[in-house]
This record gives sequence, structure tokens and C-alpha cells, in this order.
Amino acid sequence: MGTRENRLGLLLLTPTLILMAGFVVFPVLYAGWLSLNQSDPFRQVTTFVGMANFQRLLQGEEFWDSLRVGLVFTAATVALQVVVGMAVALLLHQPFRGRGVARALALFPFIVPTIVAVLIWRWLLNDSYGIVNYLLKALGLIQAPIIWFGTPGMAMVSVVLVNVWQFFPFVVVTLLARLTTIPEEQYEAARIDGASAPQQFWFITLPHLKTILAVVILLRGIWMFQKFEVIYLLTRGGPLRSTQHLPILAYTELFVNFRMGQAAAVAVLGFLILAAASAVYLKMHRPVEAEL
Amino acid sequence: MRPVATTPAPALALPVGWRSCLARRRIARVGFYGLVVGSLLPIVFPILWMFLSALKPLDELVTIPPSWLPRHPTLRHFRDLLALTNFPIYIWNSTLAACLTAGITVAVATLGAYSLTRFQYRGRQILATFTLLAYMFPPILLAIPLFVVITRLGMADSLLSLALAHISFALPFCLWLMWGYMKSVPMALEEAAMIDGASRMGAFAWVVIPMSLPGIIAIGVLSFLVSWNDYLYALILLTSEGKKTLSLGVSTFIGPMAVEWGLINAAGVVVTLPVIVFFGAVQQFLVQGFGAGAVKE
Repeated sequence: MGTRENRLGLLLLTPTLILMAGFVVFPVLYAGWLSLNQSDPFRQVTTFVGMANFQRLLQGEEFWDSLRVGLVFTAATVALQVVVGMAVALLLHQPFRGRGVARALALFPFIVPTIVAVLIWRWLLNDSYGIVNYLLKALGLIQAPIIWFGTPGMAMVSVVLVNVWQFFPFVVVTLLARLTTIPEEQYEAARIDGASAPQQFWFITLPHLKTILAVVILLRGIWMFQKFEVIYLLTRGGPLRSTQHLPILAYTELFVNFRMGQAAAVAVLGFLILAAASAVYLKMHRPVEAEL
Repeated sequence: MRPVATTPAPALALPVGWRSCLARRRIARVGFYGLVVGSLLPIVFPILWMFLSALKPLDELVTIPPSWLPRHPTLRHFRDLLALTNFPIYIWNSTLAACLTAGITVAVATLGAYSLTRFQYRGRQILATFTLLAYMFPPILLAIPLFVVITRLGMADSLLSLALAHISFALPFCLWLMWGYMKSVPMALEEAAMIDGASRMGAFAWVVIPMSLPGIIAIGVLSFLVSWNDYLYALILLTSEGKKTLSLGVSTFIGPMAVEWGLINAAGVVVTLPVIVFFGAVQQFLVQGFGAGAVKE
């Protein structure tokens, strides 16, 4: 009886296992195999070249440039998302009429499809007719319109801006959930002792949020480091590769240069860097492990 | 000049200066709402601007200073979108891929979660860890080998292949949510059903599924949205115009030389509307999920 029962259980799990094996495990292993080969994706000739792809990557400039761009992009977007997300979460944690609506509205950018977020911002930041340039000019902050995606420096600013706008609500939702679990008595006690609002934040709120903040930073870091669509759609990695990070480099290697092995090697290296960074991070923040 | 004796002392003595205290509180209140509106504005305005721009005729889109509200609102862009572009094809393709994704993900994840919560076998913890890990794999790491394999199998440019890729992306997260949900469905009821003569799968169909319905709807909507919102896999797997999904099709509208901003904004509105409707339907569940379980994912 017991074994028959268990066989049914395994049977029910089979579709899950097949899909995971075929579309997650196999691709990852296959990417590893591809990275050791040199081949043309459209002709079916493959030659084993060992570590040659990695060697070429690590010796060339493009990989290191893309890695640097990726690190700058990740650090900037995660830092801004956490700061903005924390501020909005604290605000929306206050009781006030219409709070439910305000919370739903604050979530909007996160649920909008990426393509829509991109087209919205291309329109807002349009050189000639964009509302942002108009407002900046009307306020006297700029003389000539800003070419948002035209110069290397501004292109990075723009992609960071759009990514922060789209993804900070994740931080808000996560922090709001944790804020509600902080016992109100602690604030009452602090108020009786005469603690000011900033003091209450520093000595009560922040310690409670410490672990969840560490988790949020880890997750957002992982996701931003590999985020492809927004940058690709906004700048294609340009101008002059100034916004080309590793995912875009991998894509370019495969679909522009037709170097499959090289593309796989970029993806694998990106993954290894991410895994190593996450492992070190988890070592540094032990409690996070329990949270995951 | 304070009127001392002219007004009788109020029965309930108010503290001295209560008037200014109330006024100060009112100012604080107004200031607080100002702060809320001020912070929500940059969050919401971009989306609002898309809706407003979609309703403006072309000449109104390129005036400086811009008109805030459309002076001559028009639905022309929506009509053009449906009549002059391939947009209807994109809508159909996206709907098909998203429904396939949602249907298969719900079936697989529900069966899988039932198995994981009601049966005993080794390796369940490994699977739990793995679903978490799978959720963190860089999409590009999966997309490159998937492209190579699917192309070599001659299965590229198919909406079924696309849906399968979307499922692999949605499944770990949905399985995780469903797992958590089914744990909270009490086992006593299905045991009672089985004592009354129902088979195991009968109890599953008539007791467990109805009781898990909120969770099932939530993962259905979620996986639908994963597919609906995807751009990367569509970009990599689809090649012909007739197979393009909304994300891919609309991305061809917004090249660096884009000028049809009315059309583009209208397209954005059409892509966004179902998302807002669906999301509104499951928002409560998701926010709870994010709070309780999803962050732990």
C-alpha cells in the first residue's frame, strides 16, 4: 500500500520534474558544454576548444568593460531602489485615509510590462517633445534639451532611472510586510522615554528591518546584475558600449557576432560571478540564510 | 484683550491654546497628504502620461508647451493601431502563448504541490532548494542554450516553444506559492471524503482543488502575466511577423526613429489594461504572498 501510494505521489510530480529537467537543468548544463566549444549556431559544426573561449574573454577588454558597466549599473540601481523604496514604505506605513489606494498605486510600475515601461520613458525623455525636458527647461534648470540616450554618461543615468522607477516597488512591498510585524509597544515605550521620530527610526525600525534589508539587497542585486530587457530596449548597450553589461554582451556575441561558444562563456562567467558574490554575501550576513 | 468673563467656562475644560493646537494639527495633516501626493506623483505620472498621450491627436503631441489634458481627445490612434498595423495579430499571439503558459503551469504546479504536501518520499527538501535556485538563474543563461537546442530541433518560431520557455520560467515560483498554499489546506476534509468512499484522486478533484481555488487563480494570473510581459524569450525564439507577441511587436514601433507617438502610447495602453485588471483581481493574495512566503523564496 505504502509504495503504491508513493508511486502515485511521484507520478503527480513527474510533469514538474520533466519540465524542470528539460528547461532548467539541461539548459544550464548545456550552456556549460557550449562554452567549451566553438561553433556556428546556424551550421551544425562544433569543435571542442576547452577553455579557449574563457581565455579569449578574460584577455580581451570587452569582457572587463561590460563587467564594470554591470557593477556600476547594479550598485547604482540597487542603492537607489533601497533608498527610495524605504522612504516610500515608511510613508505608506503611516495610517491615513486612502492608504490602500496609495499602496496599490505605488506598485504600478512593477506590474507594467517592461516594453510599456520602456516606451513610456522613451516618450517622457524624448529629446524634442518629451515632457521631462520641457519641465526642466520651464524650471530654468537646463538651457538646451538633454539628449537622454545620446551620450555615454547620460545613457547610464537614463537606464538607471528607468530601472529604479520600475523595480523599487518590490522593496516597498517587502519592507511594508515587515514593518507591520514590529510591535507597536516598542514605539510607545520609546515615545514615553522622549525619543524623537528619527531616533525611533534608528533604534527600533532599522534594527527590525536589518535582516530583510540584507535579503532585499541580495535579491535585487542578483536580478539587476542579469537584467537584460530594459537596457537592451533603451540603448542596445550603447552609445559606444557605455551601457553594455554582461547579458547584453552575451546576446551580442550570439546574435550579432554569431559566436555561440563565446556567448555561452559570457553567460557562464556572469553566473559564476553572481554565485560567488552571493555566497560571500551570505557568509557575511549569516541571519539571511535563515530568512531564505 | 482676552474675553475673560463674557463667555462661560466650557463644561469640559480644553487645554490652553487648543485652537492653535488644532490648527497646527490640520496643517500637519495637509502637509502629510502633500507629501504622499508628492511622492506618488513621479511614480504614477509616467503611466498617466501614456494614457493622456494616447488620446491626443498628433499635432497636439508635438506642441510646446505641451497640453496637459487632451484638448481634442480622439480614439484615432486606437483605430489606426487595430486597422493599419499587425497589432491584432500580436494580441492574438500573446493571448495564445499566455493562456498556454497559464493552463499548463497551473496543472503542473497544482499536481506537483499536491504530491509534495501529501506524500512522503525522499528528496523533497532538495526540490525545495532547487526551485529557489532555479528562480535565481540568469534568464540569459537559460535563453542561450534554449535557443540553440530549439533551433536545432527545428522548433523555433513557434508559440508552443515560447510557452514552454515561459512555463519553465514561471513554474518554480508558482510551485513554491502553491506548495505554501496547499500546506494550509487541512488534510482532515480529504481524509473524511476518502473514508466516505472517494478515491485519492476523487478527493483531490472534489475537495482539495475547490479549497485551493484562490491559490490556483493566483498562480494562473501570475503565470499568464509572466508570459504576457516577457520580451527576452520572444526576442530569441520568434522570427516571423505572424508569430510576434505584443512585447516584440511593439518594440519594433519604438526604434530610434520613432515618430508615431500617438500610436505607440495607444499600444502601451492596450498592453497595460489587461495587466491592471488581472492584477487588481489577485492583488490581495500577492501582497500577502510577498509578505509571508514570497520574500522567503
